[in-house]
Amino acid sequence: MKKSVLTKSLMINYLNETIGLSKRECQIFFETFVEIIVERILKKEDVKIVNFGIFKIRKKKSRIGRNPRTKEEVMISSRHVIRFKASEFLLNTINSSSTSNDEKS
Amino acid sequence: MKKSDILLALEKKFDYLPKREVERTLEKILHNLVSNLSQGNRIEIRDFGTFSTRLRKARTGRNPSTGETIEINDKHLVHFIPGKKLKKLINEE
Repeated sequence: MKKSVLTKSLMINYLNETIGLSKRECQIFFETFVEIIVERILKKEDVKIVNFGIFKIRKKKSRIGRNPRTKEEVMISSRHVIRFKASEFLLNTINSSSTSNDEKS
Repeated sequence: MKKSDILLALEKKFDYLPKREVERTLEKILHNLVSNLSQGNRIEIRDFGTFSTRLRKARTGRNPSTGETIEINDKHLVHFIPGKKLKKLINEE
């Protein structure tokens, strides 16, 4: 299978084809799904999705960074970062399929 | 926050749909996400983020307590990069 990118519109088409909902309804459904996750993330809550993975919110302390070229010191302020950890199930699934891609890390 | 919580929130918003339908739609969403990742596809959701798979090379590891060396096979990992908007929102107070 050719590698491609799953976008929102492809997801909506897929839902529309597999489920008896109209495209408009599928769009609203998918957007609501994403919104619910975003809402919880913004409340700094971890979001666990069974069989998919978990989004973890981490707070990073402020630190002094340095521009490697100019050696100028910059203050990096404290901030929140989002970590995604794939579930066992997801990792097993992608590792058992032979068509997985190899994007360089 | 677990899948069941997401499911409950969806059922609440879509109270005009049968619960079974809501559950099935959520399952289809997750199924499509997993199957695209396992085909090596990237997932790009505007304003949310991007998921991609990356290959971690095989390497030799060592059991920290016994010192025993073991071969660790290469493995595909899932990488998530939050979108600009989400990154910005989470740091706005």
